[in-house]
Amino acid sequence: MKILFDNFLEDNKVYSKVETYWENIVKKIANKKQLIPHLFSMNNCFGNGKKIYDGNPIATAYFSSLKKSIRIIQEPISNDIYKITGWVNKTEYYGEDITELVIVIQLSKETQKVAETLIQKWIIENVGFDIMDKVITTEVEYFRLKYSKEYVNWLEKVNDCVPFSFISKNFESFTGNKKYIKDMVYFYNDVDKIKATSLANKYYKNHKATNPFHLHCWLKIAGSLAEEEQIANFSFEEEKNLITSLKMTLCENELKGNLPDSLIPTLKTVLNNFGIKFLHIPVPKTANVDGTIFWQNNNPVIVLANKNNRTRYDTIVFNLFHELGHLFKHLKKDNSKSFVDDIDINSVDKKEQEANDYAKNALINKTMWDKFIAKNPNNGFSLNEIADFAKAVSVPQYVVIGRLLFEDIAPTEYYRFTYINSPKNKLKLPIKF
Amino acid sequence: MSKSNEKKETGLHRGRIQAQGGGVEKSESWLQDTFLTLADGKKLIEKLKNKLTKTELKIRQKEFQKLEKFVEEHSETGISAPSLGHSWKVKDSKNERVDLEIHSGLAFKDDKK
Repeated sequence: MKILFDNFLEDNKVYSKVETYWENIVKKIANKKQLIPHLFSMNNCFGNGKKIYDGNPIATAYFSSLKKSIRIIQEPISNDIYKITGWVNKTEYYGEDITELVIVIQLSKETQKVAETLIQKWIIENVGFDIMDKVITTEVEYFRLKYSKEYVNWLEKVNDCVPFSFISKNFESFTGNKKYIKDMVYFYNDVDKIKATSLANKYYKNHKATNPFHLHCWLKIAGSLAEEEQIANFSFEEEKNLITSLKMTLCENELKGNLPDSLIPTLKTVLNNFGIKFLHIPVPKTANVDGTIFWQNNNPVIVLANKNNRTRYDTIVFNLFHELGHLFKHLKKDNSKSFVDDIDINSVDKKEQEANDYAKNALINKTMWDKFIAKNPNNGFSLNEIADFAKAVSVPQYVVIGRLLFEDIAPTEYYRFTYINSPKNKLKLPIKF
Repeated sequence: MSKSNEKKETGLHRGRIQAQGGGVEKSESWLQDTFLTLADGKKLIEKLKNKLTKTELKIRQKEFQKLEKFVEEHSETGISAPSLGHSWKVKDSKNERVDLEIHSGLAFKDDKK
């Protein structure tokens, strides 16, 4: 840091220069809004009017039109972890109630910038008392972190734990701003806990290819993004209506033939209307996850991993219904529970099996499916037969194809009908014969 | 604190000492016709200290010492108003502190000098 006027307490001439320095800073900022400050650095004085050269305060300014003041306390350079800090205070001046911004600073080029930001917020943006308190905390803590040894240690520690490049590439709102840093700090604070307690680690025990820290970050981002959504109330009683609406919407969506663009927004609209938050967000490969479901206040949140061209239409739908299976089978009585899934159709875990069964049967009635595959012709189902069955059970054709592929009773060439953004998928759905 | 924007009676000797920050908000104030003497001011400081819990006081011990030193050093002339206050922040804390505000008149003058 570039220290300024470090001997201001030892030399009265330097002290006077610092006073002028602050006056000019305040005047320059005030001038942006033609505010006229009543500056009175001379006011820090003994009863006989003689000046006190202790920097407490080094400068004060009162803005009568705002009923606000600024008091700057300059301290000598020390090892205080707060090189700059501050608070807002309710006080009075000449018998009038006013609010003041107090800044305590060890003056350097860097701390000066923070002070200027705070002054700007206080008098130019005219930020209110309570909000200013939060602004100070954000600015001060961010600065403290950025210039502390703790930050350097922190960086070393989180570099291995946070998929920075992935986050900056995929989540604009978490990149290059203070919210991002704050969230990363939160991750950092949790790093030690992750191994012992987190959901991510529980998952990690069974999925060794997963980086639990990256998964943890992904879950945190998902939670943070979900918090921004305001949706309707959720009710378990609406289960049947929800499933019917989803299936109907999927079929309508397929008929329109613009699946890649509209599938996710269409699902989101229906789910949101039923009080379920829904996100389909990028995931780092290292997180090795397909989806998750958790509660946020009284709303369930379903997050599906967006794996770009690795994602299949039928998989998105199946995974969504799998999470709905957890919701209606396992989260009904306990809204503190959550699931993180690497969805495996052959899973031996009881709850995962139940969620898989729910997804299969909610999409295609079990009796109808059994009848359909009992007819399995020697040369496999034709696309015409698949289309007819899909219509009969009210699901998109790719759901039937996906199911047949899962059960190994469809030619593998049918995969091309199920991929989103697959370069090989030249055909548009629904299938035209 | 008076009601918002209500002009207070000036000409009196008024002010307050506060322990603030970190969830603490305790103060001792004075309002009198004659200036606050050093002796009375010190009594107010002690009164404020007694209002604090052991931990709250321990955290601010050095800052109270600084306040006491400050008023002692200026007792020959006293400290005059209006002043927008003096604050002594606890080291390594964001805003835990001891404040001195002299709103009007003169304070901490040693009447024996």
